[in-house]
Amino acid sequence: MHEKLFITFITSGLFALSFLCQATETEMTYQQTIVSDMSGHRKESPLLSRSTKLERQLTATYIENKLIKAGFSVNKHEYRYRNVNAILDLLLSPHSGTNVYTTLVATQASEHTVIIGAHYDSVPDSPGAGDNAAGVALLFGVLNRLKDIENRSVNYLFVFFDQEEDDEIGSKVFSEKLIREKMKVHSVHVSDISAWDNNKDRIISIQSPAPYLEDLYVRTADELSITLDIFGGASSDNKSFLLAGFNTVGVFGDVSEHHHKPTDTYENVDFVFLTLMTDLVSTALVKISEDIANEK
Amino acid sequence: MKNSTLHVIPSLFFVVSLLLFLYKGVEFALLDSYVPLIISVCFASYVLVSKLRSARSFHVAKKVWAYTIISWCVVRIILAILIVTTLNEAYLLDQISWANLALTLFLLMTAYLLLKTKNRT
Repeated sequence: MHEKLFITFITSGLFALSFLCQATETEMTYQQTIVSDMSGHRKESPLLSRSTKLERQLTATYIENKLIKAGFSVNKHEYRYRNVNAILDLLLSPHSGTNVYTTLVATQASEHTVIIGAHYDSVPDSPGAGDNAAGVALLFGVLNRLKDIENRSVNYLFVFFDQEEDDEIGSKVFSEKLIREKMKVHSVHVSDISAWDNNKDRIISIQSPAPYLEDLYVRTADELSITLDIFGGASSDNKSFLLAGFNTVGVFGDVSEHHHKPTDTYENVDFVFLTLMTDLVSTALVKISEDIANEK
Repeated sequence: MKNSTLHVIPSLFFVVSLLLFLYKGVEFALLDSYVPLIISVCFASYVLVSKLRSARSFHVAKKVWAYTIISWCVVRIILAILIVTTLNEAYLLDQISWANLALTLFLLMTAYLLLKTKNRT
């Protein structure tokens, strides 16, 4: 009797483990495909870098198609924006680009929205696998996990920013759009350089979190046995939202030697670390939904 | 007939060049940057006032406009060289296009025609 129970227990455990492994492997493969496509690793991919207007347009279309294929409705936020100073306005054309976004609507009506963002552009002459095709892959991973949750007490808006490498123009324009539309933004989570872990210490960096978000990420990291490095400043798209007064957090990996270099390739992306980052962000976002539900 | 045609072309180029800068001004004004519009309106007003005042002052205004657009083109060309050789910024690289080159050539041609046109007074 005991032996039977033991075998059932072990078999169930193995089944659950294989299911988990399979799920993780599937997600990792999915993320690998995205990074491969976006960084020109896959031979058929036309995207060798994502810096010129044409390359960025191609990338926006790629993300749009990927979202549609995953069953999401897509919104494109096309913008034009002035230069950093008026003298340049006299000489140059305005910035122009496209932020791509999709909303995962709450299952219980909610007026609050959590923004999760990552930029999709790269610097010239760099495949930008780590900076920031991996961030895009992270967003897709989180999106797929959250859509399967039955009870969501908050809306999640996933946004893929254009032109982070040009003074964070895309996110700057998007933050102005949120203010103009008076959207009730609960918090903004920005991911960048999401797949570099130089010394394999598995420490995830959290930049300038608002007090609630710091507590949230510490709680989540404790639960997942992840070590966090919390530091100040604002160095990516989180800067745009921080300056606009939103509750913001930046979730980053390490700054690698490949940063902004032609060596920022698929081969130098740490997909295990990317999975860890996906775990942290998705679990934190689920906790926000739970916290809001508990408040009600 | 030949004389009047010779004067129509520079005048047409002159008006189009002014309109291009006014368009640029409006384009940036819509993006909350008003300096290009202020400068282009100032120039257009100066040209209009000088036209109303006398043929001689209008001729001077055209020369001033010619030198202004030459300066603008020179700065743009220097900037383009800097962009290609030194500033490896994606957004700046996008500024170098056949359309922008055509615009620069058009403005230089306008300046040349304006400087070549003699005062008919």
